[in-house]
Amino acid sequence: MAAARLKVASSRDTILRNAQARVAHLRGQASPSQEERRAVLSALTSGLPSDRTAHFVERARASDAAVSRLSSVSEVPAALADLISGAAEPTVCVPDAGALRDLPWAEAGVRTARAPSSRHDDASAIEAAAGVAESGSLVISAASHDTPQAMLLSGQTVVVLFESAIATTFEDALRAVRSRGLRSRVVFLTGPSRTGDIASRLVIPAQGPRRIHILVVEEDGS
Amino acid sequence: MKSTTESFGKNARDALADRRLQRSLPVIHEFRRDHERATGALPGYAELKRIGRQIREHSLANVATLLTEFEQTAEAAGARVHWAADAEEARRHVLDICAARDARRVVKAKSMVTEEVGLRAALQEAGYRVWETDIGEYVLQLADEPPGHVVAPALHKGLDEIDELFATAHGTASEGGRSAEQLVEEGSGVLREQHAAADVGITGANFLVAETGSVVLLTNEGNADLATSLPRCHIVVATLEKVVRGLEDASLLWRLLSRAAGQEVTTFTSVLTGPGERGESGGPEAMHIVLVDNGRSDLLGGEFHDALRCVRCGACMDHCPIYESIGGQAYGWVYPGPIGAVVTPGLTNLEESADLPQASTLCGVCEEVCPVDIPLPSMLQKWRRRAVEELPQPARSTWALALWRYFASRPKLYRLATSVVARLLYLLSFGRGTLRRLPLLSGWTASRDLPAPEGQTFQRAWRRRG
Amino acid sequence: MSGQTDRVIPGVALFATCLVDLFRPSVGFAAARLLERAGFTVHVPPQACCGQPAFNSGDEERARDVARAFVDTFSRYEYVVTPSGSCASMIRFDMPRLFDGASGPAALRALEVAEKTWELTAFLVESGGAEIIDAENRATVTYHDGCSGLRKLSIREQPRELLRAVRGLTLVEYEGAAQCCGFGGTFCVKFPELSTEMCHKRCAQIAESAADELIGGEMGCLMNLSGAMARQGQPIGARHVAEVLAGMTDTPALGRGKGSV
Repeated sequence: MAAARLKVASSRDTILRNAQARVAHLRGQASPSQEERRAVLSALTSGLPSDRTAHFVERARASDAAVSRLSSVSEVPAALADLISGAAEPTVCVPDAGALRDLPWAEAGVRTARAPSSRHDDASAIEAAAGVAESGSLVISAASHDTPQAMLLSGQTVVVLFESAIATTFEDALRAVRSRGLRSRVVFLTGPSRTGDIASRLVIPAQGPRRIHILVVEEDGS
Repeated sequence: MKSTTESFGKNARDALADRRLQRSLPVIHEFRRDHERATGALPGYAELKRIGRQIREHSLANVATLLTEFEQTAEAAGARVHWAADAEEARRHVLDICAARDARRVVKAKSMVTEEVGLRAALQEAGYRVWETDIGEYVLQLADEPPGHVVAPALHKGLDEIDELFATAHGTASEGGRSAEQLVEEGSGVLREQHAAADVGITGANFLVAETGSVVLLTNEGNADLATSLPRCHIVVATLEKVVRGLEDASLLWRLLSRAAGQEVTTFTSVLTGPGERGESGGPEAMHIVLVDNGRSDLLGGEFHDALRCVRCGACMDHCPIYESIGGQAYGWVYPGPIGAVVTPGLTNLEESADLPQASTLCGVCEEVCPVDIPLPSMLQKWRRRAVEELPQPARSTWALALWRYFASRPKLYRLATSVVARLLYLLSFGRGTLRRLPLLSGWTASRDLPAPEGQTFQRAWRRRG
Repeated sequence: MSGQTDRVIPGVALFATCLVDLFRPSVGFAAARLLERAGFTVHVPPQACCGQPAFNSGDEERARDVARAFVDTFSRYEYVVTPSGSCASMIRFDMPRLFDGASGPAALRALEVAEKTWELTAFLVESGGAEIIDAENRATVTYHDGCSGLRKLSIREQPRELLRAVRGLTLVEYEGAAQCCGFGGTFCVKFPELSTEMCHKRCAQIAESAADELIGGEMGCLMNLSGAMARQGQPIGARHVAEVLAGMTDTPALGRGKGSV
């Protein structure tokens, strides 16, 4: 083991020394400046309408996510009950310790669980930390694996997104997410899973999430 | 991975004669349309391309500093970083990690470098059950074939072949004729069970972020996120040049990569920083990152430095007329198409892969579509020059070039010699205007007529005209 | 070279290219006529090759020897014009690089020659445009873009603009116009099967178009495509754009043998 560790250390040093020596003459290469970055971002968002929420909804739908708009977070359980009605004894996985966990689910007749289930009839309800209007992406930010698991495994993934959390660009969303401390998992999710691997035909869903339903909530999350 | 680059000529002829392959290849016309739509139709692509190149240049120029920083930040976030000078060392790190965890079952998302270092075979030899979980890679695992494309590995496989492979592997009673949807559904079901049962999940990385220690993965199927959310241990295998300075570099590059690959944005852009916390239902408690060199640091700063800018979007192969004709596997190693023909001699050796840079008309379409402006044709040219300098050349072409040089560097003598040749070929054509067979030019005349010279050269005729 | 003066010889030195010189003199005469119509004196100094075959094979030493003879010959003229995008880009971009790091007259002259070398249609558009075209042709034609001309010299609109000035001519586009025909210089004999596959794809696309003649600005592509079409029995001949623009279409089209027009 000692010999192996020695070898490991030496590979590291050899690689770094070699790389360092070979690029020594390129050190003047500058990273793009903030102005240059801003110019690119403004070119990328140049055609975007001023109504960020409307644009987010349009882009999210284009990515094959379903979108509904609610005026208050208290409407979420009823909306979810609607989405899973018709299913046989559905359960909704609510992994978050945050606002969603405390909603009056039972009053809306929704049975909740903490562990995800991969039954097609079941759903999960998770909260997006942000939305990206540019691409219609949801930003799922989590420290534990419960949220990604719920997002990936459920028959239907319902994501609650507060309108105030919709950012214009990836960068804006990243800044918002990082201001609360960068979590271990930050996933920009754009629509349900898909693949083109079987005879180059686009198939939705692939391995998960199978279906995405976004509930855009107008009222502030706090 | 075992290489067959040495028999490229034969591989290519076999590929041209492979009817199943030839039936699948035209799909790259759709990739071209997707590329055009995702790059041309959306605002800001030109600007994105310019800054993307700048970011890649900056990353490469500072690669050692950034890697050192990445090691610190990734370890501070709870990951463990390992360094591998070559393929053997990369395999050994992964085997050691698996052994230390007493693992039995491994799921592996799509990653080119794991193909390069032959990771799956090494794990299987050591007794692990390994599952490729990208549906395309899974198909290829069942077929026991290497990938044929960096983004769409199984693009050469038809629906009927996949149906057969799945029916055999899953014991499903298929009578053929299943749809892509049905096959994806069946494959996803099988793979989900494997994800749930696996002890270790292996992924590659599209970017490594020095500032935060994050690994960025761009995927569509959800399998990479399953592989990093369900098994107790996550191993990332990534090559050195993937490192970038900050998340704001990564976010510009992921747009560029995704668009060049023909999609406005991939379904998943996952930024993973450290192993994360095990919650109610498990998930990783350990994250290992294996940084692989395997010949790359030797390419830095040299003639092929710019090829390390590559973000593996696949646009160069999608647009290449050679790739369009023979697919990816004929190239004989991991990376096909123009970028493959440039990096393969650099990462393996020129002697065995000397045909790859020759097999190009230098038409330039690859450079035109490359999102980071890699001068691929001139790099192919550089390999050709090195081949002339370093490798023995076939006697016939050496003689031909020597003879050509002798005359072509003496214009007046050349003028005289070519007028003799023109006369000779004219006589050989018996006044028919074309030559259907010519001894030293059978490669041409096997499929093409050659126009016969008209009896005298232009230069001679011009002089005569006075 | 002895006897060389520093004085620039006014007018255009026509570099016919080795393929035109050997296989298709009519293209040289057509180019000369067009240049004269544009008001230039045309010179045809003793000439051989730009060095591409060796350069593209990686044999830069031999390419350099040939390039040295080339710049010796052509550096004396005001302009160098050639009916080929690939030779023009070889001279413009690659020839000076052959002398990178070298000093001496050849390196300097290579740079000078590079700066004054033009592809024929681009030169004509710059120096007179459609006004110098006085030709009539009732054919329906399609145009194949040579890769080097298209991607290195941005030659796309120029030949089309000039062709539109030919009375009676119908120009239709075919789907593969901007895709490689598989010629690639020595590539076509090093990898004949690959080259043929690429060539046949273009031939099929040309056959799908309404054209009865193929036009291009690159002899290699034209010989390749017309040679394959002739072998397949497709009744579509090929011509260099200079012949059509100069109204010099007496020579049978490439691939149409003797007697057919």
